Amino acid sequence: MPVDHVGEDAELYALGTLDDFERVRVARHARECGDCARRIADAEATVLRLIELGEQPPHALRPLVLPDRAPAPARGNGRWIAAVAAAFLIGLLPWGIARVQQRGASGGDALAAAAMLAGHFSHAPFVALAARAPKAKAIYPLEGGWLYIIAAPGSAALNVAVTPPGERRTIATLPPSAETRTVFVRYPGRIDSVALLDGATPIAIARL
Amino acid sequence: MTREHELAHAFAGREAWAYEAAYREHGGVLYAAAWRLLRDDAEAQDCVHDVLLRMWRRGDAYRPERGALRAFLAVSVRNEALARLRSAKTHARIAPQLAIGEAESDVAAAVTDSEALRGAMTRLTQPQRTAIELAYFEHLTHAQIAERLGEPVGTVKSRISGALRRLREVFLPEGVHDAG
Repeated sequence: MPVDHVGEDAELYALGTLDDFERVRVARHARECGDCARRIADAEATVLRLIELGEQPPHALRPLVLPDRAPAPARGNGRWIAAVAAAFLIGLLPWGIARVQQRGASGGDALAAAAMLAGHFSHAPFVALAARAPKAKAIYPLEGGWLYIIAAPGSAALNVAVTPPGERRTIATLPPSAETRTVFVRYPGRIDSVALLDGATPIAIARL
Repeated sequence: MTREHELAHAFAGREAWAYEAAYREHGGVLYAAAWRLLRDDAEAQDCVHDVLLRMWRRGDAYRPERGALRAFLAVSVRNEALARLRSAKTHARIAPQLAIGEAESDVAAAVTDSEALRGAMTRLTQPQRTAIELAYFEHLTHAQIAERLGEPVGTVKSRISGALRRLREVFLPEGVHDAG
């Protein structure tokens, strides 16, 4: 039974004023504490009412297509996956195309490319928590198992830490480089968010 | 079991029809939640889609016992919009739209919302009203609000929390969406 109830953080959670680490803590607690979950639900209902009573957008929303409901690619056209992966990488990295091409199919990038080809993946941008945070993205499979971090050049080594259920854990390091930096990590556990740390200080975070 | 409960349980069970139905039934308010912050049609629509697709892929984001699906989705979308708003990349792209709102330094004047919303705000104490306006309408974190007001963070958090609980009391007679 959790002992540290979220208290007034329930309302702050619903309003989105907590930072990412606080949000993860509140959400995890609410999964195990009915009282706090109800207080958060009350706060969310109030925020919903604020939205409903507020200014409304001028356009209609386009339809939603769930991936598993989308038409499957034609048989015998397996190269579409590689094309999507390549386009995805290049599209993500207007500042790193040369580096991706140089690396070709070697080292960690080859592992990442192979992992992407083998399954469905998504990506999440890192939100800067400090001005010195480099532009970066996390690429991860929907079924879990690995993590691929791409970051803009920088002179400082950055630790990569994940926040699964449990404590934050450093799992890799992005070395300093004058070129785009990447790191591929096999990680079997569940990941809620990934942080880039300068030493022990989080400077960017991506929620997966 | 009501239609709301059926939808909530099916959504939690990751049934595709429930995601599509939730999108049809709640998409309008989700889009409003994102658009209100981002002021950009495409960015707001992407924000709503990303949240729904992320939930679809993970499948364990929502449980019916944690509260109403509509409120849960609305807050999830609003939080994603806040994250995008606070990211340097998105902010640079939509800064021209945001600058229009930021130019209106009087927060109350920027609240171009319904009479009901303006009326609800008058039921708060002035410190509560200031705190929640900075949190909800100006999207500041409690640390930023504390700095802006020159008050301790703990005081600011209590005011925001109290303001939202007071607003819940104000809204309750209208029938806040409590059904799962």
